[in-house]
Amino acid sequence: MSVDIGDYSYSEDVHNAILAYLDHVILKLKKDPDYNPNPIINAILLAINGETLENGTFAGIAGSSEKRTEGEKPDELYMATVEVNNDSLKILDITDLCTGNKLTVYEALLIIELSLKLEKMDKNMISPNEIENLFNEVVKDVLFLVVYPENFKQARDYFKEMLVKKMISIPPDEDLIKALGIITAYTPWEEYNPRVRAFISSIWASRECKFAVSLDSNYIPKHKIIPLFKMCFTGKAKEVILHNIKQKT
Amino acid sequence: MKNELYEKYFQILEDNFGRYFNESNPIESVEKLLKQQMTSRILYETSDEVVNEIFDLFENNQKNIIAEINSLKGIRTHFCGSIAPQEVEKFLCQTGLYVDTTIIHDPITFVHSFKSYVNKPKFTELLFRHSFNMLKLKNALINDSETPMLRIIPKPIFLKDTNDIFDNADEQKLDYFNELFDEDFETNGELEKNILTLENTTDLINKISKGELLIPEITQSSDLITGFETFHETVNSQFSVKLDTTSKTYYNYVTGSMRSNLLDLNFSKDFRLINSFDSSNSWHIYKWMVKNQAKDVDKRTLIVNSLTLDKIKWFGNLKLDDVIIAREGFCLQEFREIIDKEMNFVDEDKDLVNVSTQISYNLENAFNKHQEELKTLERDYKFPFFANYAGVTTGSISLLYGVVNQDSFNLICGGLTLGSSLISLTKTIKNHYAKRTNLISSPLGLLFNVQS
Repeated sequence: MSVDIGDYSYSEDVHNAILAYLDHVILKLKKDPDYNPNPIINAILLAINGETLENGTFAGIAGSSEKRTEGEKPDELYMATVEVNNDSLKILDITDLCTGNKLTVYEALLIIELSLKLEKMDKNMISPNEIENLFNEVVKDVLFLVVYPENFKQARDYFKEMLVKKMISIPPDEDLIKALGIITAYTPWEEYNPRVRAFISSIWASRECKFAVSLDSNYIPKHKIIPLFKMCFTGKAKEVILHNIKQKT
Repeated sequence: MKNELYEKYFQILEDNFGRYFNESNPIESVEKLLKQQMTSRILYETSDEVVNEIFDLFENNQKNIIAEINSLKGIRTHFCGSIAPQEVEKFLCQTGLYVDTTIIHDPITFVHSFKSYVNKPKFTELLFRHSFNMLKLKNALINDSETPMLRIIPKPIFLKDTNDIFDNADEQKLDYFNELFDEDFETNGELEKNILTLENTTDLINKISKGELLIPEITQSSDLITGFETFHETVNSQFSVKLDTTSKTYYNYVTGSMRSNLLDLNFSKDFRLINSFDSSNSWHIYKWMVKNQAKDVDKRTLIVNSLTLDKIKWFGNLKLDDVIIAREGFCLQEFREIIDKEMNFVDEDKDLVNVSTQISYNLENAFNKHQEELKTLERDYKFPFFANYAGVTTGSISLLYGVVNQDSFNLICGGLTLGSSLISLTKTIKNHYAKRTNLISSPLGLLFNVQS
């Protein structure tokens, strides 16, 4: 089987990792027929379409199973395109339909690893410390720092200090500048504009060479963790992480 | 219940790791997989399932397990050594002809307690390795011997009320170091302040007053510095958290030993078991602890432990399957009588050396007698044909030529004339053959073959 997605080509490591996860899924389904594997794997399995492997190119779409209100977007939705050729399977493409981005297999495996860790947590609401630990365990080469309502003041004060000392400059973005302008000493973190939260958090985290995760509440529902992770796994953070993984394999 | 429980136990291991166990060299295959970054991480996250399932199995059967252990008869020992199944196998070979039932800690639920101390690939590797090696003990758990050879205790049954035990263990540790250093520290805080600040091995050695209290691994080295430093390196290589001085390593080792010994003592007391060890270090600390509680190590405990720790530990050369077959022949009591002979004259103040010397002497006498019996049988094996061949037809002689040896056949054909029928002759051969087989496959027969 060979896979070539994005910057990374298939390796024995990826093959064995996917097999290890599939073993786990088979075992879980034996015990609980209602078990829901990670939707990435579900999308691949749907593309293969059961036991008979006909030759050809197929696509499957699968999403997370959390119930939501009408019109609300799913937390995770993926499309996997596979090519079947004489009993060998080639994953051509995995697209995150929520963001429109293509995923590399390594990103897919990181998401699967995160979902395995979340599966073991017996609670529905996850704290910022737990989020930090989860992200840092999954993404070993980059450290994340979470800023949330209970700890945001030091980030805010540091940001202000850097601004006053002219050690940071605000980008020429009218909306951002306007949003910054209405903040007072008494404005709670939840009422900050999300872009402002992200900006302040990133300046705070950069002191420790970490990447920032800003949350507008002290606890996040478990089904929102993977979407949050995908949001953080973008831009410079993603570049660094994937580069380091490539070096090691 | 019993076999059903263990059948389910092994089914869980097969379900979780069966694909890897089917490889020609499973441990090597898994080690190779664990060197692959992403695979290692996914395996680490998914391998926990086996622990959860085993925990659930034992939890649902806890009452039955406890009831069974309480109902066991004969000599029952609690193996306080390594949780690694390979070491358990060796222990069973060493003691399986003497001890009725050995109780071990379930390696799967116990290795899980090391999860935070070892790195992830190492933890996953341990889970695989122990699961794979447990399969080799399946026959020891499920067989037809008169008493069950092996039983498993999961961690939740073993560990309870640890706070009191750990407090008691800390008191024991304080007593130990006070005796070792000839000091009078009143609290563990005071002890730690004095020992944990020692920067090098020489400083530690200079404080020691009673060197004989040190564990054998250190005292058996050419000198104490080498002993301590080798011990320090060995311990550090096993854990992800490294300690920087030999005094910290030894202090931690003694702390851990006191706690585990007390847990073992409590558990064994509840079920009237003998504590048995496969490490002279652990035995040394255990003996000290028993003495510190103003008690004696009883003879039976000395005997069981001499089978694993002193000059007769070559019993471990036996194959487990041979031991199981011998046990299925209901031989334990007879063999125990050989081992136990003259033990009443062994002074309980003495230790393993005296006991194992007595056992070696008993065995030597028993071997001599056994070999004499075997030689007599083999000599007599010729005699029936020699003495009983009158009236046998030519056809029967041809048939028997295939059975007896050349010399006997020649003598028969030389025309000896004591009478006997072919059927009774065949029966005699068969009986002799059975006696000879029983002698060879008896515990003494098995041990005689492996003693060199």
